[in-house]
Amino acid sequence: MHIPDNYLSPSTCAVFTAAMLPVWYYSIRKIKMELPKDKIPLIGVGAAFSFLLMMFNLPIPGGTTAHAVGGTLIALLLGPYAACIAISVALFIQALVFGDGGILSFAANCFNMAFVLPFAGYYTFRFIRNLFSSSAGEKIAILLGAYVGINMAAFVAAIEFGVQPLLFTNSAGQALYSPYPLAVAIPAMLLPHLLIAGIAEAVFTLAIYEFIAKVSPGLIQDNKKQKLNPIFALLIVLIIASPLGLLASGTAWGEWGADEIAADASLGTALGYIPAKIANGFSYDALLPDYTMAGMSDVMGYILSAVIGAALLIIVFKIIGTFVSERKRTV
Amino acid sequence: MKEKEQFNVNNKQPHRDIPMWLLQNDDYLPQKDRERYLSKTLLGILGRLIHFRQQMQIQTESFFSVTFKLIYVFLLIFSIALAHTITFLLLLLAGLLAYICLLDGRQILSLLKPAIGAMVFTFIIIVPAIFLQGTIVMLLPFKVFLSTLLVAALSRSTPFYLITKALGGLHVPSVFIMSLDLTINYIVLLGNTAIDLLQALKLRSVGRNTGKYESMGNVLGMTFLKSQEYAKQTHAAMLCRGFTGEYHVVQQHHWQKKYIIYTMAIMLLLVLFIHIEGY
Repeated sequence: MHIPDNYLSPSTCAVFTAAMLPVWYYSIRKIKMELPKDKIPLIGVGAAFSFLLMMFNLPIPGGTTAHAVGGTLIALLLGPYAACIAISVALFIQALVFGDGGILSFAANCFNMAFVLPFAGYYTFRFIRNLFSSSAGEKIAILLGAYVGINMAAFVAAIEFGVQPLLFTNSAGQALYSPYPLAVAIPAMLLPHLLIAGIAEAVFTLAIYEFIAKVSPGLIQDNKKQKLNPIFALLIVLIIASPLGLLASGTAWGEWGADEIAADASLGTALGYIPAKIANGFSYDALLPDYTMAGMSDVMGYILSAVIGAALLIIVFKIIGTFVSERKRTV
Repeated sequence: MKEKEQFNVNNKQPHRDIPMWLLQNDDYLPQKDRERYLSKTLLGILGRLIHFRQQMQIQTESFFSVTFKLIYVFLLIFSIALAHTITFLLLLLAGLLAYICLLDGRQILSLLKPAIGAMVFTFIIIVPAIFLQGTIVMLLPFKVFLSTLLVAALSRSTPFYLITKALGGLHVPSVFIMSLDLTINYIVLLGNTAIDLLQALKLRSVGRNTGKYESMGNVLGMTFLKSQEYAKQTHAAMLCRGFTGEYHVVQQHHWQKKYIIYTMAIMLLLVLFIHIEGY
């Protein structure tokens, strides 16, 4: 679901940046007001979880891949506002260090995965839990919340892809950016997420939530024991298991490089041309492109990328935590 | 009792003893003076001293001995300097980040600040080389970042007196150890002196003190004179205690099981380095 650069026009990207700025501002204010300051480093742990889940690519019939995001999980643990900031920072590091998701399209990706996903997931969960307040009801609410959240995000991403050929074409009628109209983009994005990634997201969310509720209930309810060691252990397990994501060898739908897109047959026949701006638009060389390292096997590169990404996220939020607590003390 | 009566009498008739000029209301308002420089200097020195004090109180209970840490950091810095591909450096970065993310936020900041500072400084220096050599020279700031981070991590996790001891055990020339040891101790001693002098200057400067900046020079001069005095005293004290300038560390090495892990850690580093760098 990471939209690369040049698939969306710069004007689309500008619109989403304008939409995300107030969301980020309000989320940060909400976190400052509502989240206890000792929980701010935990946003980093949540972001690390999300980062790792996004590395587990799942193979989709038809040669593409999809992945879970874990946004609903963070929203359940720390609230949707914290989830918004956590996933935004995770996406930022993915774009900047690993070249996954574009720099220009960063805000659009944030809109899908950091705004639509956790809020849709969280409020679906709340709605269903209020209807059935038993413990089985809560489990169903978590499953459905996560499922609805990721599919809403995929739907919005599909619309962003789908409006591009309607708005931006050259004189020959060839698309400048993403070449797929809504009728192609929506099923191509939604089917994998409805059938595979959505189920994976729901299962991951419930499993990790139940695990945390068991080993460290203090993270979910106040005044209970809060243990971080098992959570770090789970992170390490996810890091070691992350090369499983390499088994799905295809590229996710809508994330092709310029060399792959001409041969793609999502329109029924092969596209046959490279949209002008994708061929020679904005390009950015990441430090570790696609989670690999030159001179090292893919598996090792993947594990190292997982370590660097997860550690960076935890460090960033720990540092932010010190600034917040300092400010509160001086006031 | 008698005293109390006298006191009461004095209280009733205060005018008898106190001269008139003392009873007049004084509307002296001292002119505001700029004190930012003085305050900043004071705070700066205090911050350093607090850092040293905390440094001495670090908990040292660790599986890895100080000597091992010292050797390992040295090996790492050596291999960073020799590396000519980014892969090995990224491997180290991953390891260092994993270690750092277990510390708390304040410690992380205190490690990253010097490392990022050093990296930016190196970057500025080598900017012209990018136009001549291409981006390969960008390895240099990255190497500086990693090395500084390593040394910072070592110094934040080990008090100086243990580092001195470990250096002695490794038979590092004693002149080197003594300079290091005395420097660190003297920074604290002279810092305390400078703070006393600066505080005195601040308290005595009522209203606008035009000679303040000259006094700053005097403070430095006084601190220098004090350092001479301390040096003489230290020398005398050392002579009295029979110190010849040699650091004898009593070493009784018994075989411990953890040495196997130490050896494995060093072997792992060397194998990784040779494998990745293709020597």
